[in-house]
Amino acid sequence: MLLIRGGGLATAAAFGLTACVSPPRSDAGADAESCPVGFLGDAAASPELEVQALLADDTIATVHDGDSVAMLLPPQGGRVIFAGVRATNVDACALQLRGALRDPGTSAVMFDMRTINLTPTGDGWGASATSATSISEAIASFSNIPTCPNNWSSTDVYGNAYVLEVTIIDRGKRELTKTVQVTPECGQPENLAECLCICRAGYITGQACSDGGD
Amino acid sequence: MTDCSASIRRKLLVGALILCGAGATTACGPGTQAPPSPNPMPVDPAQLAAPAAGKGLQLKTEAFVVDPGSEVQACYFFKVADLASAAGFDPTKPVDVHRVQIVQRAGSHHMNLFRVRTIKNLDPANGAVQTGVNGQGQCFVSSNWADWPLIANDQGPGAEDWSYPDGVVNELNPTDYPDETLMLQTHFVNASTQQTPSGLGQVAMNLWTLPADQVTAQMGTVFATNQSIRICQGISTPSYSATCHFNNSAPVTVVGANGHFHSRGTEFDIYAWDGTTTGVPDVSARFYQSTTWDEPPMLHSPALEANVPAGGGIVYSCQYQWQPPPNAIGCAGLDTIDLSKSPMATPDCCYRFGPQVDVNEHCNAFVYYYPKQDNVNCF
Repeated sequence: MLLIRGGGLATAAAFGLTACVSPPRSDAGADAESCPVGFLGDAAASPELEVQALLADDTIATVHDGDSVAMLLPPQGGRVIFAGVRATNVDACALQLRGALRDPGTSAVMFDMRTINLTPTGDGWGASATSATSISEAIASFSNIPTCPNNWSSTDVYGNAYVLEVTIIDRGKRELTKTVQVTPECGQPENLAECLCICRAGYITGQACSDGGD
Repeated sequence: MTDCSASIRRKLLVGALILCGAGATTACGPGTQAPPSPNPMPVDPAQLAAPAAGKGLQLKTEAFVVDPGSEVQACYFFKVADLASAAGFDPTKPVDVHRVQIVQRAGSHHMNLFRVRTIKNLDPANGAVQTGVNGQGQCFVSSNWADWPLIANDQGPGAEDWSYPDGVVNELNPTDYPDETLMLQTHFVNASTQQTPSGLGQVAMNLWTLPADQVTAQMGTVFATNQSIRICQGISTPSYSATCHFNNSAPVTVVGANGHFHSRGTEFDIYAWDGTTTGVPDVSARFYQSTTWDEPPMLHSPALEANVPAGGGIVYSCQYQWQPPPNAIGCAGLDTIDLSKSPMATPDCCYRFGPQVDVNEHCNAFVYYYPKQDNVNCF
């Protein structure tokens, strides 16, 4: 398992979970939006956020400067960093989440942007997910930052320092970006060789990894 | 949803492919001889005339039945050498495609023409025509053609006729790819959100060529799919943005584009991207927009010529308006599919990525550009 230095594991217990009550289901019409969470925290205060990432064991970690982050195999293929947030003083409904990984040497970047609802954690904060979550669940509520195949970075994506940038924008246009220096690593031992192959500098998309790529 | 698969399988008239051309041994009926260019475009694919000998290839399906309440997706396989020989070409020489004509019957959801590469569960060896019905069958499974390069696509009824910029071709080279196979995929819908008025599907296309001494650049294509979408009742107007990185050392020119989603899609945008900026680019970088899910525009040169800077690529964005599913499916039906993909997910009447228009959504971008790049990443 890939461990995060400094941040520790942010698990369900750490959040003091509050159940998210599902609203009545509607087959009635398109206007029947059902996001019961509303605003989290203090509307007069500036937004705050913590960067989170999914680990290979389905736990969620808070990411700090100098931490490692896991690159995982998503259903769509390649490798991604599942980057999420824990945030407060924001509208939790229809929040725009943007995650990006930047090569500090060239400024080249890969990013993914999507709309999510934060799940409240009962303390005025909300998160992309509040407990252990599988990859198949995380694809919808975490930014899927596509790190590999690596046709974009000047160095191997694994084992080198990159900048992880996470931005939230709520419906009231409150916006906050947080950047942390991270070291991506191949997060799943069961497919380590393929990860090391497709994430190395100079990999050509579609190249067979048995051709010495690993 | 009505399961008409058995009935449709009985009725499918897909026993024969038609390889047309002046040199073909199969009779193609009236109109076999190529008319003078520009070739007039019929509305009936059966009436699309083949190019003259040595001028181009024709690929045409038979008409097949699309019963009410059903979606039919058929994958037709063609050997390039067979097509070339039938059309009067030397099959050992490259075929340089410069102009594409496509005619489909009304009711077409899409057609794509791919170059077969890694074979997974959709193997041409299993038959020249492999048909799926209502989401079942390998012709519906997109992972089967994940690395198959796109040649051409179209999503609307009627006709498409596009000549690439001067000197630009999409080359089918038997030296690089001996025994190359093409896959023409056609998807017709006769269900709740889209209908096939005649109950018949059919597609025909001509690939006109350019003499080798006139070729100046190779066409590159991008087929990008954002598979991590989930359109749920609890976020009624979500949007998703993803990228393709071209790894281009010099600028490239985008000359064709279209976007594809289903009936919850409200706006599809594609932008030129510099490779260093995050977020949706400024509107000045947008080269494609569609607000019509069932008949998205196909933009191409000369009207479309967009510059992508060195080290750049594209950003494509899909916006949706959640809609309740058809009564026959209901939220229970969507939840069943959702949970099959993610057993621990909280059900919320969500549409996940997939091919069936009534129960799935898509966010697929098709981009044509030159000169071709060899290391494009759309994951």
